[in-house]
Amino acid sequence: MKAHRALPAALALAALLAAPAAGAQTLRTLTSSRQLHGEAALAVNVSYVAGRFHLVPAPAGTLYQMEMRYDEEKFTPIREYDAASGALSLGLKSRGHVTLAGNGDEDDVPTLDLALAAGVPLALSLDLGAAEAEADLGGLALTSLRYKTGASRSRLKFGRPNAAACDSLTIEAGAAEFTATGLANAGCRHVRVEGAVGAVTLDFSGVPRASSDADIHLGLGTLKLVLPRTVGVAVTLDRFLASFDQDGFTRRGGVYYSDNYAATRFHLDLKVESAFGGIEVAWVDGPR
Amino acid sequence: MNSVARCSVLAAALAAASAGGATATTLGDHGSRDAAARIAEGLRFIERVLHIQQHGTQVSSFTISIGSREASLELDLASGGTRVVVLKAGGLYIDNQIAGQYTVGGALEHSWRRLLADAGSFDTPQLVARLKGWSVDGLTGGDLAVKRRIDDVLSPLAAAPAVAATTTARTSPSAESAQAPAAPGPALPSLPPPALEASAPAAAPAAPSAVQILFHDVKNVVAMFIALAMIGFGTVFFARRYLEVVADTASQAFGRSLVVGLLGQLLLLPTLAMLVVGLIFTIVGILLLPFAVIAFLIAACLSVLGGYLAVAHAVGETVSRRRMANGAFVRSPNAYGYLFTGLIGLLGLWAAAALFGWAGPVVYVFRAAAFVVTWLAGTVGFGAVLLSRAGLRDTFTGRHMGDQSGEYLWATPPATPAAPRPGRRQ
Repeated sequence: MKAHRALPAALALAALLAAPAAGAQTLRTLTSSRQLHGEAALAVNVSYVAGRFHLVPAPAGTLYQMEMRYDEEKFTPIREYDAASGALSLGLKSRGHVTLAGNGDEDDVPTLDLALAAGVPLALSLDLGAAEAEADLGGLALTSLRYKTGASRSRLKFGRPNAAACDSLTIEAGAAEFTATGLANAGCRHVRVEGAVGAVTLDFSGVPRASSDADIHLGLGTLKLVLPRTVGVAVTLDRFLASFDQDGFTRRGGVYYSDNYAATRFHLDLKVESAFGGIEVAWVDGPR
Repeated sequence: MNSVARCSVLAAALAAASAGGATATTLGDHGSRDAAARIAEGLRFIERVLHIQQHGTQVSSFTISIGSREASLELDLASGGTRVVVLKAGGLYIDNQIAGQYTVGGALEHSWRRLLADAGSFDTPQLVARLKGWSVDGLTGGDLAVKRRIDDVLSPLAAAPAVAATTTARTSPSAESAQAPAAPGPALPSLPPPALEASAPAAAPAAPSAVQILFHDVKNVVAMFIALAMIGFGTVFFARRYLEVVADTASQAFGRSLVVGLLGQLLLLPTLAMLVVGLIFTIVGILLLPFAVIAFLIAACLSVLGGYLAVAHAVGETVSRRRMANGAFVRSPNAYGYLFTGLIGLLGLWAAAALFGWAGPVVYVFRAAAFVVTWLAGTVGFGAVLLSRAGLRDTFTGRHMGDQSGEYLWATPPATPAAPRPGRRQ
């Protein structure tokens, strides 16, 4: 099943990585790093058209650290920093039209390893195309996060609590297999997830710091909700030909309440719209 | 920056400061406060000068780019300047100016590339330390000269100290509070009031008059009639043959069409679900899925609408032929006339419901009857569309009467290419 889910991403990735003529690769590596210089806040835009993407917190004293490999005939790196406005743009963009004729060599796949400052409040925007992405944002100071991905396989992880108050977390996934874990650690009050086609897993475990709400819209595919028992959960459903696993819920007035809803300090209010698929629920005992 | 230059700059700065102070002194009427300000300004000028010189060699960020033909190092300085060192196709470029020639593929180039390639995991201080400690053994001639030129650029460098964020991150409610014993939360929200109660407006609007109700309902029926008539006339104009086949199927195989239409309605959603499930497991299917779903829904709507129009055509044809059989004059005994007559018949109950809307509960009887008739027409029409494959197959039209004996063949015009419709044979 996982192989099936990864296929759309692999196909799109192959389509974008394909060379006009096989073997005409001109690979280039680009390494860049910047020291912290008293930045109070930063708006970071990462745009990555295709390839493998990896994001982690940077070591102390570093604003960002980036290492990428790409075919310079097909891609152009993005690296812009405006200290005055606190705007940082990084990533990789396509030079133009790319066609499907790749030779399937793993070394041809562009890669971007990125590390961002852990101590600076970040308004982070990640725009990933046909990418296989893994981002561990635990420990960053995120004030907002927008995560947009096309045909991809993405894993978004909050391994540690967010160091800042996060207002919003927006996730837009196209034909993708998307997994987000530790969402309670993100501490975002408002979560919005837009999924078109694919499998989406939202793991709300972690250390909750406040009540939050989430709007989840999923077109075709499966949605897996991992919910901690330490948080009261209310689910408002709007579904069409989509099943819903009701174990652990009691329906009152069109809303599904977890059995512990009245006894918990923090609540998670979910609004789920889904068509043609299934909504699975898995309960976990505590912070993971 | 060497010490001589640094001293000369310092001397110039002191001279400027002392000049400023002298000026302040000569302007004695400004008092001692102005003089102190001038001195402070001069000192700040000195600091500024020294600050610039200090930051002139401090590296705040770096970028390394390694391609097949060149390997470049770009250093952003704390002062705002940039130093760029590139080894490219046998040439050394410093700040985009040619500064020497080296042996392509030689020890110098290999060492330079290795130095830059290893810097991927370095932060700025580590990189600067590695750059300053860079050495290559066995260089001679041009390569040695190039190495010295690079050293001239790299040796004065120092890493700028990292300055932490000037403001701390605005933290959300503390983790301690999160781990405090859970206090009982609010009680479960009470059940929402009944929908009717919830949606009731605070002040009820004035009830519409009987005339308003009549006008509104009649307007709706007339609009629906016009819309269906226009669609129907378009269908007759462009697809008359198919419409007639469906209409004949509905009239000649009414019961069969009804059963098929009922089954079709029941299987509509499961079929759509199967279509979606079938497509979602293949890559091409996922790409086609939105189009397939839209095409399916459009096809279903067109089938029901076309079937309804075909039933209207059949009703109109039946009524017209019966009138003609009774000797009545029918102005337009053609498909347009049949459709017009049929729509009047099918929408008649809706018109009756609209006309008697003011009469109270009796309108519900008309509406229920109109709904049943409309549903029946739609179901039979949908079934007829399915049975006739959207008018492509005339198996159930009653046109195939079986083999006829020779005594009836005289009735068939020899030049007629296709079998006439049974109704027209009369």
